[in-house]
Amino acid sequence: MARALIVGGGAIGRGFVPWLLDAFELDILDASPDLVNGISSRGGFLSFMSDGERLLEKWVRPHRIATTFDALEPLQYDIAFISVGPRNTTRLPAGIEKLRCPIFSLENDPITVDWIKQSYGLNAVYFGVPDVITSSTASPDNLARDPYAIHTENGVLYLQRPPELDLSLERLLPDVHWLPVERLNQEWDAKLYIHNTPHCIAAYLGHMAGCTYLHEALAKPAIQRAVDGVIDELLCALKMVTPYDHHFIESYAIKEVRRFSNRLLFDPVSRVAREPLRKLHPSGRLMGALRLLLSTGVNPTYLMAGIAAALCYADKNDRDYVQLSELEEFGIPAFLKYHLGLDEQSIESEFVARHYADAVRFLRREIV
Amino acid sequence: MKLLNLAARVSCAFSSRNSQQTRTVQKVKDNQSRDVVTELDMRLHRISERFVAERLPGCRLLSEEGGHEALDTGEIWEGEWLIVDPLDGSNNHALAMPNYGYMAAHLRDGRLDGAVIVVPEHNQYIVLEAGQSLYSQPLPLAGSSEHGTVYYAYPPKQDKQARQARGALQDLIDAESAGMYRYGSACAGLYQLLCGRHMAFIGHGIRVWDAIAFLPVLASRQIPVKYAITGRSITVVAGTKAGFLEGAEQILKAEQGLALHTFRNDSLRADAQ
Repeated sequence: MARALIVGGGAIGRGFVPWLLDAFELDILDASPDLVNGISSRGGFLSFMSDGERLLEKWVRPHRIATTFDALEPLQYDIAFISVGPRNTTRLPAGIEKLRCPIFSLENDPITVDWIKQSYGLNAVYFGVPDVITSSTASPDNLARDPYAIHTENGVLYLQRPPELDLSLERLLPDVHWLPVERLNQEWDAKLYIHNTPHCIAAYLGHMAGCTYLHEALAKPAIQRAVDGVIDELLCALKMVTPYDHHFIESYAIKEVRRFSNRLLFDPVSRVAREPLRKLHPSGRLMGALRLLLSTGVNPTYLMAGIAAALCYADKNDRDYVQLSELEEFGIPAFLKYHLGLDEQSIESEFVARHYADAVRFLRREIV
Repeated sequence: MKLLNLAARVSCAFSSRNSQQTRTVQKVKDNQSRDVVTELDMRLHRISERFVAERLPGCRLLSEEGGHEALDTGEIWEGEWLIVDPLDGSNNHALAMPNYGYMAAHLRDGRLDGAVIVVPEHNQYIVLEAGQSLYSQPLPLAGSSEHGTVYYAYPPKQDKQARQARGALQDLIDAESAGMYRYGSACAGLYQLLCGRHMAFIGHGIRVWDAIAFLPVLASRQIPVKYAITGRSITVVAGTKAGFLEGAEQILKAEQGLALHTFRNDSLRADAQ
């Protein structure tokens, strides 16, 4: 039987990828001893996939699950996936360098492919785009059945086609869309802006409104209006600068809002909003989108509200909480310069500095 | 992280738009044209004063731009102190040249409890507190070469023994490294050592506030540090090449009778003369 390895048993790794790996003997590596011991002692975990109004159920039984590569020796796999969070890709446990199979980084950022190659001297590392929303948890009912249960929607996994893709591997993964790197980058563009930008903004607004799950946030008319506004702004800009068919991206956008609102996902606001500094990176879903809008002459009213909400994100459990808690002392230009490397005379920095206070007033009036 | 608030205030001051105005030289110290005080020095000094008053009750401030007697009397090794160099590399800043930064060391009963370093050209602040460190940017690690460069900082006025030691140290640098650098800011030199762009740093009888904040930061990155404190002066030898450090240590001992101590972040009081 073919063998697959998932490094990182979080939302994508545990929730979505196993649904595609029925033909594989599956090993999972995760840094959390609690998760590994818990799943190990139960012999597996429950995974739920929303399909329309139905919630499909699957018992995922990993062949092995461990916190270190030593426990998984010999490391003979046909395919491996990395889904540990972009910031963790350069801190993977020792042993990763021994993998000889194609490795796919599902980290929402193509730069992670280079990071993994450089950090571990690996060559066969490729990019993948999981076009899916996966929660990091499950509904209270399903958590009562299994504390490691997880919910996902029925998404699509796009993988960069390796130069010499083994045909048997392709046959074992019938639901995977294999794309050349140029085409994958287009998917990434679409996902980055039409999916990721409004998705994280919905989470920041949801946090301000005191919501626990994303579907609760989208149920609030003010948040729905703001998210729709962001999508309209992005569509305007994307129609001007990309070759995508306009009907296609409009329907893609409508589908996205429906996905965010999925009441079966129980996607925590804290998961989608986590690490706002990474999401504010100049080439990322917020500042990158701001540059796109400003460069195309689209007024980023709702996007600016989303950026302000990200800068106001105050979750004490979040990795970026400490820095964000001193935002006022830094002032916007210094905060953006030191944390994001944005020159204070850049168009993004000047725009955010000029409009931040108004955007916060808008958020306090409309969202809180 | 209490000290992050200080880093935020300092970063904000460095980031203010009217940089031309902040370069105005307000005075020249000790008739040394290289020892200038700019408006930014004073602004950062006042920020440090306000921070101590508002956030570190009971702590006292020793700033380059304030009184330094506590170092002469040894008072500094008792109680809580913030030792600040508001703008290291003031002359560079006044001339609109690169290489300057802010340094503060938090001292509790002679032990370095924390540090704040801000290097604006690199969008970098470093906060060290209670064993935890926070960097605004990942360090751009250059992977120092065994035969890399050495930053050598020394004051303009040195006595005969120190001048002899200086000559021998420069010979050592010429023999054992790719060359000597001295660009007017120990802070910038120490930061480049941290990034691996220098193989070693020698601060030879410089002022305590010119280097002390970096001691725990270097140690936290496993860069060996040796030092000696005499009154207001500190001699620091730090770097990644053990043989070079030993050579420098022997020169300082032979020429000046200076015994260096390995920095282990226990009390500095016992090592100070």
